[in-house]
Amino acid sequence: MKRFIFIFMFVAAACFLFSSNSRAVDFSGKRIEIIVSAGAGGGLTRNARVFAKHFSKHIPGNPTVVVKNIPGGGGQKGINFVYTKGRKDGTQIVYGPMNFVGINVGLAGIKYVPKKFKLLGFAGATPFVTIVRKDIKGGINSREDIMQKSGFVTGGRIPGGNLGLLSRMPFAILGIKNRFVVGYKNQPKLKAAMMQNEIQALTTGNVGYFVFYLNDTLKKGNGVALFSHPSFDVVTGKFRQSPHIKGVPRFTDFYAKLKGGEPSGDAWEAYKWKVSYDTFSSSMYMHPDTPDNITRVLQKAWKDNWNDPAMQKRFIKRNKAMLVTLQGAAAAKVIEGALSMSPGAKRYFSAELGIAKKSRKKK
Amino acid sequence: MILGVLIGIWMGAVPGLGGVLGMILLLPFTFDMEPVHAFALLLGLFAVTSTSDTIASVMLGIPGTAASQATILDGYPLAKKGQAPRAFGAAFTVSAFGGVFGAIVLAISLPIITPVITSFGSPEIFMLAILGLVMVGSLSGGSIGKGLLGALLGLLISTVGAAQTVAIYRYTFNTDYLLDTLPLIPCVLGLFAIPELMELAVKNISIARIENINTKKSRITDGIKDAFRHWWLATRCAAIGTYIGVLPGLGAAIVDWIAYGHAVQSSKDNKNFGKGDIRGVIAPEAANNATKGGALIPAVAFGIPGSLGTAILLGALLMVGLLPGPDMLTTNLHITFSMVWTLVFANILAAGLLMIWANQVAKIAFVSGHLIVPGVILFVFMGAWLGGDVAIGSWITLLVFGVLGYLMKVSGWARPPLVLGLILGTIVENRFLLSVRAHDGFSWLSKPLVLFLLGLVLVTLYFAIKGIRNKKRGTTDKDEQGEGRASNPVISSIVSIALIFVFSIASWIALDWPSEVGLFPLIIALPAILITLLTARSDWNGAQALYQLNPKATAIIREAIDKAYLTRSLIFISMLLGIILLTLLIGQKLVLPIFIYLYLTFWGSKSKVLAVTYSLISWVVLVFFYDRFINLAFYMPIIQNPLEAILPKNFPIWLLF
Repeated sequence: MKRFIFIFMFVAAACFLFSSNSRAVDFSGKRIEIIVSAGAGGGLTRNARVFAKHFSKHIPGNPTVVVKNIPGGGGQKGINFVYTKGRKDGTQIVYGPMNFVGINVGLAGIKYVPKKFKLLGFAGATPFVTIVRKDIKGGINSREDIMQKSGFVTGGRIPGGNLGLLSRMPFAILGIKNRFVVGYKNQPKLKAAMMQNEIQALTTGNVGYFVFYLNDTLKKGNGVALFSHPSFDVVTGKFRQSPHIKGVPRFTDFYAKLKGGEPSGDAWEAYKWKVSYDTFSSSMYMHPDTPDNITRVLQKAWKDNWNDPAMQKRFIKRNKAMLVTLQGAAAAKVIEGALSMSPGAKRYFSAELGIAKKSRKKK
Repeated sequence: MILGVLIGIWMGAVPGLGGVLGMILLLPFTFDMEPVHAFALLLGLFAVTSTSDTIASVMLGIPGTAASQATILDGYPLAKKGQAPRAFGAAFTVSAFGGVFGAIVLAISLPIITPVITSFGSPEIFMLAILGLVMVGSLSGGSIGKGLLGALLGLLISTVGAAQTVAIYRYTFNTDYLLDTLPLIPCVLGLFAIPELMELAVKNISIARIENINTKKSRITDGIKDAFRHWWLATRCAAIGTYIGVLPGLGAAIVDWIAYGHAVQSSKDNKNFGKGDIRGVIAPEAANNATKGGALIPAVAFGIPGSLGTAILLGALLMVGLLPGPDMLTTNLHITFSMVWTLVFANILAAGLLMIWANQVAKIAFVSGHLIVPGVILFVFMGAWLGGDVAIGSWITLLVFGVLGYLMKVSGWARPPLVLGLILGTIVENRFLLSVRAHDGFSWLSKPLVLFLLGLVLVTLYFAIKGIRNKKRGTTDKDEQGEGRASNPVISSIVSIALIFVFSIASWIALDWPSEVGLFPLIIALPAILITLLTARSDWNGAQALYQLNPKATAIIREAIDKAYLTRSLIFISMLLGIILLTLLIGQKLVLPIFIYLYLTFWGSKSKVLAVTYSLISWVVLVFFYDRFINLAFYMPIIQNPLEAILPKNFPIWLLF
């Protein structure tokens, strides 16, 4: 009798598990909200809209896919929302980067645990470019002239933002003294500040390079693209190629040419970590309790969408290059690396974010 | 373009929607269009929201969009006098004029705009924002002290969220909603819409406070004549609007206030502003349409959008494969000029259409308030939800600002300075810190343009103080109507005490922060405490004067309560709180229709048939407009998951939640 009960229960459990796992996921009549953790007018939202336009056809049931903006707190508001209050049925997906710098240095306000999210995939890793005014402190005739300059002003968007950090770190590594001013909110305001000679150096993202500078500032001869910052592939151990950024040397090559060898110090530790793990700005992830069968279906749809020629054509029209996409083991390796920052990098980022001087009383 | 214009008219007319949302909705349809067609659609919509937003501002005293806040100050009093058609006639005429003005400036200034952009850095924008703040003087109603305090409170509230230079958050109280600066829409809707709706509901009156006289078509022509009579004011304000649009960093929300302030200060006879002066409608309406053309100039020429709307247009430009910059003035010049023509025709078309409809719309002013309140509550709540990051925090913000707006209204605290502080606070702090850091000190104060603007600030301040003094001397009527002119020292004392508490707590918290984080809140809060003590003393004197007339404290308090309709107002506020609490349980799509039914049946004493019909229509609007058309994310209530589990799998749950 006991044996019979045991077999019966085993079969019942197996049937239940089998049925729940193989149950066809169907999003017919549903609406999937892509939550962008940034403002409606920015580049991240534009990318999300292109992605959303084609996403539906790769999902069973072809649901309506809409983009929602929940900006604020450097992206934390939107991510916190999905993590703490988001739907668990795959109908709310974050589109945007997790704040890995903030997590490592203990920034307040972050309520999520990256590994707990159901990850569809990492996407991004496009290069950044550092640009300076050509008339900076007596003028620049060749890129190497920057080594003779000091005291100029470098601009950044928000504390801890990629644009500011990737302006600061290279000059710190090269030992060029400059004054960093953060708070320009967005790339257009940074460009306006550069036009006004309020700042003389900045870093822009891949799209910003083409939209704001290549066709205007650089074309008119008012600026020089000093060096690019391609992302580092932790799987192959090499920097990724960015052939669409023509004639701009890679920062590491620039350094090697002028100083020889590999840099060292906290800024370099921070730079290596940043370009390796923290440039996947178009990543997508869902509430931790999203069922596995739904996650698998959406992971496949995510992959199919990035590989869709129609989507790629539209994306390249705007971005000039496709994003790097990672899933599975490669994505897991990125998360592992992102969450294990070296002490030197931590020191650097803490200082940059102003975390070290958080409270007067505590001091 | 015509489709864009029609959608734009709707988006502008409904409080809380606005042109940005409209463009976001239409953007996916433009991906495969020819550039000229795509921009005709998007610009047609974008251009006219500042024309149709006048409807809510004039008829309900609620800003249709952020760009029509100042219009309510004189537009709504005109509607109360039964002169809504006149206000519409003037507003639509100058809106069309302002829009065309901005488009012409766009066309002729594109090749020569560089010096303007390069001359306005952070120091100049900081001084311009200070100039905007000085407008507080002309928006303060009867008391400069209360106006100043309102502005300081707005500035303090603007510091909520991330600090400017380091990753430290201020006044978040560990809530996600406060991680960023409070969104403007729920704050403004709360400050203006809730008190007006409360007045309609509590007093059971119509918008027009006069008998239903025949609103002839000639009234619109009266407004058109007014617009022509004040053509020079309209031209100046259109120029102000265009110029502010060109400058990246100020934003559209401030344009109408600056134009309004300019109209007040440049008028020799300004005692009727705030009571239904047509110039108070002409100035902001000419400016807010002109700003669209202005904001397009740097967006097209350099890729620097002057507002969120132009940022989205810039996105559309990129989506269709175009790049801003010199190409837009050479190889793609035809696209640039198609934008100019779209702005011109869209503005004229919208003004013409709205003038045709204006007489019908104006009749709403004579409808019973009980029929207006429920429907407008729905649009106000959903507008706040939409404009406040689709979170329950936006409704709490709406309610808090609603209570604040009510208390300010009934006790003689002008509300516009608070809005001005709220809008300009972030700009002032951000640009001040950028100026100091980029110039390594205060050398920027000697820049010629900064000195010129500083001179303007001082001149404006002088005339503002002089104007208030003259007004005080000339005022004889104690119960003078208009923003910030009500007299209720007892309620005003309560506001003062609450403010002392708020500013003190804010200072106490700010003392714990590093200097670059805590400096701005302290600069605001510490002087505010002193000024509040002075206004509290003034209120105390007012209360004592009442006591001398009637030496019974209870009678004075009872009179203050009656004058403010406090008891019924508190019941109304409780109903709004009930909406929020019930939403947590059963969601918005059920709560709002239920509220409408209960309001009409029990508060408005209307028939059940009418109440059911009204509720059903509101439910249809929620489900099919806000959910299916706009794709708005609704709150997920507590009962949704359990109910979904027991309902059939194919049941369309979106009908309920």
